[in-house]
Amino acid sequence: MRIIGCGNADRGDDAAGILVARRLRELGLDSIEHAGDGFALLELWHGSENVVLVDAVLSGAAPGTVSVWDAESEPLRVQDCGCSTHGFGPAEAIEIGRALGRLPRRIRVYGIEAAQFEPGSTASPEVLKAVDRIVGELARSANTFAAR
Amino acid sequence: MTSSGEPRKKSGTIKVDYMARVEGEGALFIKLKNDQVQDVKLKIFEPPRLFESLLRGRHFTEAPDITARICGICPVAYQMGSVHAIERALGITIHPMVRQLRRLLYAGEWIESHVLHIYMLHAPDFLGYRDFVELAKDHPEEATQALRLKKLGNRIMSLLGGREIHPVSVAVGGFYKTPERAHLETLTEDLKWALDVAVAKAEFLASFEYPDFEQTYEFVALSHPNEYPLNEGRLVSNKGLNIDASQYDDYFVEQHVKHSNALHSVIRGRGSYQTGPLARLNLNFSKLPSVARQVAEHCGVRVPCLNPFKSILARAVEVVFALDEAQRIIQTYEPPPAPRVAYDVHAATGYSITEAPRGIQFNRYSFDENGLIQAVKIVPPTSQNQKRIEDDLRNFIPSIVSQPVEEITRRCEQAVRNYDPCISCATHFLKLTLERE
Repeated sequence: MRIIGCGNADRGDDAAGILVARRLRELGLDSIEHAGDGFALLELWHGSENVVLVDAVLSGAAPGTVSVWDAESEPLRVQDCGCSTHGFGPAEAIEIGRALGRLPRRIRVYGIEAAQFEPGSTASPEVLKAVDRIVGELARSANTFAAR
Repeated sequence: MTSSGEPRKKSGTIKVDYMARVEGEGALFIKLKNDQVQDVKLKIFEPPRLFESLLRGRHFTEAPDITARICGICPVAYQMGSVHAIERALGITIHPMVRQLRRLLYAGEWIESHVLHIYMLHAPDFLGYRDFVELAKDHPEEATQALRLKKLGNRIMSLLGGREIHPVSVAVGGFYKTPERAHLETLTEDLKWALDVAVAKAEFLASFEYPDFEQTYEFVALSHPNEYPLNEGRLVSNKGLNIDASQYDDYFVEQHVKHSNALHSVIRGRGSYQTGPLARLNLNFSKLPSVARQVAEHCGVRVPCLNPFKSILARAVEVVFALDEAQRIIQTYEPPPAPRVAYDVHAATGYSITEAPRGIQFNRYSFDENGLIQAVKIVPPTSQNQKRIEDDLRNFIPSIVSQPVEEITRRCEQAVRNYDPCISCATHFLKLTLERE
């Protein structure tokens, strides 16, 4: 299982995915911190059977709410934020991967609802709690996976 | 605002609050009165980056790494701009092979930046797709090849620059480390594949429908006696400009406009001008290798090409050039005796102009006897093209003004993307507002 945490550690709740990856590594589990560039993600998961992607999301839900998508079978409901520029993010990478037959057999996306992205700020308490929950869940499934 | 099903209004405003598929944050405001264009504003509201101030008080040796942070797409442009200006200030002559390696690094940036803009950002406009994802569904072969081409550009940057974004290997006097020939030869097979694909796929791009729109431009680009310009040359135009980088401030002026955080550059007494792939192609066609000239001719690009929408073809020709140039450099490469040359520090001012993928980029660096930077001026390509983009829109809108607002908006965004604006770099960018009164 390849776990990829996306985000920016210095932009408030955008750190959510990065924090999950860091905590998992502290527990001795392989995980990758990633800025979230879609083209690089396509390369990163190339050849992997089972990928987990963690990123901050904005859906209007309460901060810290965790949404889970099995992206190999359902498109991510991404609203065109318009501010995507040269940057192709994880959602675009998944849809380009789907169009080109380059998606891992299994790709689960955890989205942690963010509250703020202030430069230089730390993640909100609600987001940190969600990070704890996802780390626990992924650690358990990684251990179960390894035990097999 | 009118939609396609409603009666068309002859007056009003079109607003694009955030323009997608451009780098950075900007907006477009168009005001129409009785189908006549009253006002066009390309608003750049991405906050100022303040790099010029950030560099003051730092040692000039830090400048290449700091300026590489200006842009994630064209970091090499700013890095090269800084080292060339500093080296010129100190009278440093770099080793010829180091010069070749810098051209190779820059060629890598042109490949990744141009392929990104051609296929991921601009081609969807011509084919009527919302984005690259839709293009990829209908044209999987082209999309897959584009991804591989872009990756090759990034690999070149990574191999020479230490990493593919914000490279860290460029030093005043040369590089911190230069590669062995065997390292560069790992690119050979991919370059051969890429050149074949870039030549073949130009036909796909040439098959697009191009708006019948030509303008009288002042094209501005570097010109070098015997090579297609990347790192150096005199600054020339089709209207008689022929200057050294040190004369830039005498001929060009940056103007603050209220609606933009990016300064507008104009040629003193003449106004807007165009820089970038179309300008380079028009002013340097004979310097292209024969394979690139043949691709241009095969695509129907004849110089002077005055249709800004054909800039996508100029980029495709330049991808062919950059791949050919990369092959040539690798074939003739011998590692230099040292990665960089030694130099003495003294107070000085130096100037440089290099060709970023989207156009010329000017730099002036002044530092004291200890090498501490006192003043910096960096003029990115997007602020140079910004006024010209507004002029293009003002002249282009009358030909599409009878169309529904969605189509006007789509066409205007396409016209802005002719210039591959990099708003993050330019601030000091799109949202479209169309106002009819």
